[in-house]
Amino acid sequence: MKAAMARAFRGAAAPLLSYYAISVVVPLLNGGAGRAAPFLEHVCFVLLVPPVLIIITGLKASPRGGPR
Amino acid sequence: MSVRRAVTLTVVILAMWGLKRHYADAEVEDLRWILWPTAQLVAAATGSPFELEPGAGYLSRQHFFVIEKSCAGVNFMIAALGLTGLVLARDSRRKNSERSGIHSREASGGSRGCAASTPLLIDDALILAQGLALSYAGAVVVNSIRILVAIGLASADLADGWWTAARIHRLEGITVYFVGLLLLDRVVRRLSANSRTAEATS
Repeated sequence: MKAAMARAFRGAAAPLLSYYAISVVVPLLNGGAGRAAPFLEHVCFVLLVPPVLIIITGLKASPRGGPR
Repeated sequence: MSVRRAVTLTVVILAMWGLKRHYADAEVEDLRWILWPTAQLVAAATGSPFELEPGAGYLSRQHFFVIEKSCAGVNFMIAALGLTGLVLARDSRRKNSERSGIHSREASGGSRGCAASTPLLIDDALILAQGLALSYAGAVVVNSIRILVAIGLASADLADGWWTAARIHRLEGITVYFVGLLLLDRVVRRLSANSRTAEATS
């Protein structure tokens, strides 16, 4: 299962990187942190939801990745 | 990182920056190039028209829903452009090293050698054009799906306690956009692998 998770995160690295860059890094550079509370909530959602989706994908893939 | 890849990525990053600048300064009317096809797709799927309300966006009176500037999907398109640029730049480098391997084998085998790789500018222009086309198509399709789901969720009235309508909308948006990026990544890798296979067999 650990291997399936690692594979899922490796496979999703480029989409995750580009999504974080646009949704967190660019607004931070544009001074989004000035609107502290709503921006913090937005960042929490953005940082948490994609890894959860990747974990779900990894869990779904893990039985297929195991020994046959 | 090779100089070639650095140049390609710089071109892609400049295009992303240009798109971001355009988006920051644009009015709704300036974003018709992405809002109009999105509104048409959503209208076709829901069966109800979306009409342009100057200064506001595309409005569906039936669903009481506006596709406004912040719903245009330009940020998704920028993320998708970065993603496709990354994948295509990496695969282009692979393709060129495979090609130069073939050419050097041909040259050592007595046949006449030729240019080892596509000229840098043409290669970068191709990557940028492919990246723009794929990210634009991806943004229109994924954003239309996000809006369709949002319309469905709004009419389902799921808001309860901490889960306000705004938070549900945010969760849905992040989920659809990220899954969209994952799928686009697969599509770009598949297209790139197919083109490499076609080139190797020709």
